[in-house]
Amino acid sequence: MTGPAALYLHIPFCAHKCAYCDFYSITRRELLPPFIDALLHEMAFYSENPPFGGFSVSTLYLGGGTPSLLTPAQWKKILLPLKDKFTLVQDAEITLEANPGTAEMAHLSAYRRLGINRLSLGIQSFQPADLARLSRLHNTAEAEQAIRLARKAGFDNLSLDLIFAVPGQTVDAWRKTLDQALAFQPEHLSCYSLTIEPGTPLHRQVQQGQVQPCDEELERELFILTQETLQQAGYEQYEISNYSLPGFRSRHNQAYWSGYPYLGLGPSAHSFDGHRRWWNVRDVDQYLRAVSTQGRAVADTETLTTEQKKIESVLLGLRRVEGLPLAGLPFQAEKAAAALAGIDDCGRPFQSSADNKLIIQANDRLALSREGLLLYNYVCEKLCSLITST
Amino acid sequence: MAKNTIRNFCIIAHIDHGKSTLADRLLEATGAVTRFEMKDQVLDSMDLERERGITIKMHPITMEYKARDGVTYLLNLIDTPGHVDFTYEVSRSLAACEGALLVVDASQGIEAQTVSNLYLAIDNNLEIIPIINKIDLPNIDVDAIKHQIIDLLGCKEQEILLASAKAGTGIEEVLEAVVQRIPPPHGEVDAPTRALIFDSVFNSYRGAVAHVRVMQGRLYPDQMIKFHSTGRTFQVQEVGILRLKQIKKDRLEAGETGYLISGVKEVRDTKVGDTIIDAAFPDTEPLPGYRDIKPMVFSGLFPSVAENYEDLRSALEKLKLNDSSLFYEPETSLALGFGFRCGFLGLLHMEIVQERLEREYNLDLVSTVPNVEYHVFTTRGEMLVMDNPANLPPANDIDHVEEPYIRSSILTPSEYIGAIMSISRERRGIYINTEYIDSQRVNMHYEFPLAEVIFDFYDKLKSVTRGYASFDYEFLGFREGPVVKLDILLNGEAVDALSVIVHRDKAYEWGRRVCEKLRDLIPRQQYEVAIQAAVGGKVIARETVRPLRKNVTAKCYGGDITRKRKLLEKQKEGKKRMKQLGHVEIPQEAFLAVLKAD
Repeated sequence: MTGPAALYLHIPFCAHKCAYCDFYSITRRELLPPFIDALLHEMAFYSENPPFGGFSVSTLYLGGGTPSLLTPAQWKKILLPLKDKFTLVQDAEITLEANPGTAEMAHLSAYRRLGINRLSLGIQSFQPADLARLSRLHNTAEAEQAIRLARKAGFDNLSLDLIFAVPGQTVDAWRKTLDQALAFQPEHLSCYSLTIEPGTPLHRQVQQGQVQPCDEELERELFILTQETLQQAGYEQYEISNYSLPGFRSRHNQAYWSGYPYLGLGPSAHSFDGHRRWWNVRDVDQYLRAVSTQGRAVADTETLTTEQKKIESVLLGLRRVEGLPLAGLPFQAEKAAAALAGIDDCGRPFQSSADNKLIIQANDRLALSREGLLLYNYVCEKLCSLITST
Repeated sequence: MAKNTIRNFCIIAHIDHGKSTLADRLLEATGAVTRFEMKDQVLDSMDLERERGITIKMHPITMEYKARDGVTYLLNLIDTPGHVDFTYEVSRSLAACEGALLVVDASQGIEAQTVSNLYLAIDNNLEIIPIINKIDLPNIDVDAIKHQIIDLLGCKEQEILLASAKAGTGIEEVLEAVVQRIPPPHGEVDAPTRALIFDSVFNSYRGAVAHVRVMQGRLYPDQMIKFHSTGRTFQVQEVGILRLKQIKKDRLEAGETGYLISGVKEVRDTKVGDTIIDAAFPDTEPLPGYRDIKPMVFSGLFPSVAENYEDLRSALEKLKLNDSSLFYEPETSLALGFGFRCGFLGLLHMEIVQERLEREYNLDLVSTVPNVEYHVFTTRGEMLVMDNPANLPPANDIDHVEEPYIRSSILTPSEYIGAIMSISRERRGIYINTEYIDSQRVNMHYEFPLAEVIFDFYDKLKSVTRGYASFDYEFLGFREGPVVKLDILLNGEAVDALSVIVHRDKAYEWGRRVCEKLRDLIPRQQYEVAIQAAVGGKVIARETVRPLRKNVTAKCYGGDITRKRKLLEKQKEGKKRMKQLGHVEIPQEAFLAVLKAD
């Protein structure tokens, strides 16, 4: 494999498990030292074997879990051999996910000195009610303090994660969160509509009727409010949930949406070499055992068929606001327009694609309209059904 | 073959009362089947039967039994299909016998189906040998069952045999009773040939193989024979008796049962109940009781993928070779494309055919709501026979409509009389009378419009009587009824495959229910979908599928991609089974779901 790729490290440790989170993480921090050893071991394995051996890394993402639970010394122990085993390109993007807890914040300057040049802060909300509903450990003041400290530590590429459609959240509360975030002029914002994932405590609360999930109409309103507010503030929406100031799109995320190869290390991490995708075991103990005996901890692998590649190109490409190039579309653009045609007042479908409100064809690309972004899943379903296996 | 060593008999039993297991034991005990050949329900020909543990129809089989009197007898076991859909075929099988084993489950007692078949047997002057089966089960009251049987048959207590086919007890007593109590067949060997066809099966090499009982005269190779109902003449190629395989013989004589092959290609030419006569004696009187079988229940069958239309046609052709009661003709639906209008003897027959098409021919099918046949009298004085609601003329052109009625008997413990009266009233049942079989059990007689019982009446009956009641019916005739055509519209367009004919008073309820079901089944789309039920252009019920307002996965990174793709693949697969109606997609389950009880 040639050319730069994305490298992801999954740090499956958290001080506490939040009610909505379905990422793999545990709170048994005594496993951190053996985990770091295993991670280095796994890294060595992939750097010495095809397809990722000897490839260069244009973006490194330290995610989790809560990667900021690792001390600068622990990160140093990981990053030094990493730079040795893989070639990091000159201006590689190196992102660390961090939570606004006080302990972690003390380390920010040291992280920066290790070469970490982008910080993604899990703020989620500035509203106490939302933070409580999401069972975050930090409060509003700590969130604000974390951003100030990140700036002070020299992070000039700062991303904030925010969550909307939190049960009980009002339009007004979300507007306030957005305004407070904008006051810090972050380079990047990820604004996620809360997904209530099966298996999470929040899901159980909803099932038991203790929590009322956000109404679809309100969710729509919040999504549109986000788009409008951030655009007015000079941010461009480059993906369904991601916004940036010009020049500050996340290189790492774009690698996923562009179908570039990526290597994921650590429990539950996924890797893709352009043809095959494999994923690691979702359990630290199993991970430690597997890596110590086999050098890696793959749970399963899939080799993509041509049809599956086409489906992925559509599902990933449509997430990007710039859409898919018309050349090489796995279906006819006219058929796409027809499949998504609206209906007139008499309930009959429009014949002309000009009346299509969900997709736009411009600049040799096919992209979702603003309405289309809101119905991304529906559009994907319709368009993927047009893909043939040949 | 000396006729007095032949015994022709059948087994009358309700589904699940152990008919097949008893047959298995008889075969084992007489050595008709070696241990090596034995499997459960050995005479059941279809996997479907073995799987459901029910017998639709068993192979006839000849057994040799050396009785306690030292004589070796030939025992011919002829089957009776155990379901109300096949009453006519049962009557023909009974006509081929001199005796019947009445098998009653010790834990269940006598059921309506058994009673009606028993009455048929008594009408045919059959010697009845009652057997209480499954006596090894715990918590059974054999005495109570004995009393039921005595009340029903007027027999003596000591005439009732006790057996457990499963455990293999009482089997020899059964065989002895067959030999001792069932009379040998009579009928002149030298009289002109008369043979009853009680079944016919299709063999891809030999054509239609008729299973026959020679009543008088004989059948032999090269004989010219005539099928009385069709008037067609054939030359006999082969006759023989039926063991697990066919055993060729040089002739079949009065009193014997066996098979006949005569170059007939399709089973529709060897009709159950027909009489085979010697072509040299064309004036020979046929045996009584022949009827042309008419389908009672109709439904459209469509391939879920249009390309499979030809496969469906060829599968139906093949099924028809073996099932003369299956009827079909091409049908075109705007909603479902090209398919076939099929006629069945009843709902079970319909289910069996559908399941066999899907299983044995690997077809994926969409079927429409089953309906009965209507006689539509137009204002111009014509009578149209309608088996497809979509073809009904406009309401203005209809003078009146007649619908088929049945006479039914419901056998139930008396405590459920009230519940049964209530569900029967809902189904427009006309109460005739109630007979007390004994102090606890009654036989309730009702007349119903057939349309009212073909959906889920039997399930309802079972549920209100905790499974104790059983149900049987026979066709009565056509009567005028206030029925109307109800259309279902999606965003203003009528979906032909969802049109039904219903009683005027029930149209609203039906329409409301279908609209609600469709509302839950039709996926939300980018625009609103209005679902309406209409009678003669007047909307009587409406539901709305709200448009999607926000439907977007928030996150899609490394690990989410496979998950999202798999979901899309699944949806893509599901789309193949969706039917596009104008611009609304309907999952094909919708076409059947409208039937399912709430």
